[in-house]
Amino acid sequence: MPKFERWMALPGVLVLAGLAGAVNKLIYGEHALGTTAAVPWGSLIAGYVFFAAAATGAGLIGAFAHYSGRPALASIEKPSLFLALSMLLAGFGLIGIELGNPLNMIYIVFSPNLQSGIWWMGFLYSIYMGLLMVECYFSQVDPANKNLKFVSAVAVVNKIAAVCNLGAIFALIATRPFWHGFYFPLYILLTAVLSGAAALAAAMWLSARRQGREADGEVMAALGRIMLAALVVTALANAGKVFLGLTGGDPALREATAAMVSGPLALRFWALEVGLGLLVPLALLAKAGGGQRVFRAAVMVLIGVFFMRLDFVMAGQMVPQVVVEGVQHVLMHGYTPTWTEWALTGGAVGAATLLFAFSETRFDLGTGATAARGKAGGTAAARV
Amino acid sequence: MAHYAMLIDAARCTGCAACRLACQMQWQLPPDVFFNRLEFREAGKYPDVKQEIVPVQCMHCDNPPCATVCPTKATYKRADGLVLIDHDKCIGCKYCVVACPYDVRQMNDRGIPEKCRFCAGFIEKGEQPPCVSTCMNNVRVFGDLDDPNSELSKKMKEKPVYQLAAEKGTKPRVFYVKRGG
Repeated sequence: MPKFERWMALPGVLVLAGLAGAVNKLIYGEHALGTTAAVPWGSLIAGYVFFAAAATGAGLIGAFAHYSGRPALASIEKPSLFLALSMLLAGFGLIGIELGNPLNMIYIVFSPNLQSGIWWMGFLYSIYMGLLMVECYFSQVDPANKNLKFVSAVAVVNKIAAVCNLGAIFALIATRPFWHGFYFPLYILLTAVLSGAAALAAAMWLSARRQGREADGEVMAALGRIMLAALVVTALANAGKVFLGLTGGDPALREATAAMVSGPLALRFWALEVGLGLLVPLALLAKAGGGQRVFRAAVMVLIGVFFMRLDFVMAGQMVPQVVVEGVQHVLMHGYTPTWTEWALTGGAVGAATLLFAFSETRFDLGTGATAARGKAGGTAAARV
Repeated sequence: MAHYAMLIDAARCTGCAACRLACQMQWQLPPDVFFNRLEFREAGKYPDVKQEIVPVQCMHCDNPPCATVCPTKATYKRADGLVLIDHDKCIGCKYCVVACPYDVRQMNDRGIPEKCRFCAGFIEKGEQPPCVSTCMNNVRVFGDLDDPNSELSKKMKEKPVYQLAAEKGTKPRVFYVKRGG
């Protein structure tokens, strides 16, 4: 049984709040959520996308560390696996509670629809979880196993396919112009790397603080550089999306983009997604600085990316569909997450934090000391 | 094999909403859940304006996006043209609700989407859906398009018809008589 540490009280409270939210959802079903027939997907879907994409991004950065052989990144290889698994499980928890009938998931196997993006999501992310478990297992018991190289290569392909398919779930819906098109699968891959790097930086810094030492400067600097590069591209992609959205020919796309930049979502978009999630971290990371600066930027990026997911899910559904020409009951559909949704999202954050902390205590992730980093580096070399 | 469809002559609709109530009674739906609705719109130019009513329900599309996106084939298209939902297979992901271009799906208390069923089971016995039989103005005609002698087939030939949001490529099986056609 892992030992309780004082800092665990905060994620522990979040998990308890999440459990309360889960019970409320089980009792009241859809009525416990702020979603409606007009806005059927809410913050739990956004939260799931956030966790699944961040887990994939962390896994991709771990694979980059694995194959690049860069000494500065060697020590994140094992933590990236366990962190990805922790976040993926938290995401699965969220989506499991959001689904109306999760037990019917058995029909994903017995009655598969290969045309459905959600079917592929279940398939690819289940494989991802399985591969992560295999990689975590071998990282502990037999890091030099020759089959691990093959597993890691399959996992890289699987991660890219899984996260792009996650984007395609939205992108293939022709009825929602804000989501529709090739843009989102690539955008979610990019922002998965951004949020994965941020999650890893936050985890590495907190892990070091937990042990009463400073985080490894080289590791934090390397993660900071990945975040900086991803932030620059994300900022450009966002600017492009907004420009094309506002000047494009589709009225529904224009209205959805306008809702984001100057409508009901504007405050959240500019303050949290752009300001807190993009510009401030960019300014922090552009300057040279220690691990704490990278950690602060990482936390802001994680908050910003969560609201980026929420804004994206909302903007796609807010503009009413034109079913009958000339009929529009509301200018925009409204949606406000309920306490149940916030509690569940917070619970998932707490659960991911505690799962990683417990795995760090229980297994050898190489985060203990500088000497352990050398060992992890040797492991990476042996595996490649 | 029959191939069911519906023709709606919206110009005859008085807006009494008996179709909606009959459907709710038929399927014992709570007041806030309904499988068909009436859309009201303003037509013409001031001062020559009038109100038009357009009944809307599941279009039982031949190319149904709701069935395409369903991960477990809980939503499926029957050979006779009906798009139905197998409640036992539905995982409640709401992907079909998001994908439907007609906004006709609503969630029930069990976390399963609901919509017009074209009264499967009743029509197989030769009965008409209540939304059709209860209408005092015969706004709706339901029948088999493959039967050239059906009332539906005959009515479809009498006047020009159109489909809602046909540009989405869904190939709806609910047709509307063109006004002034």
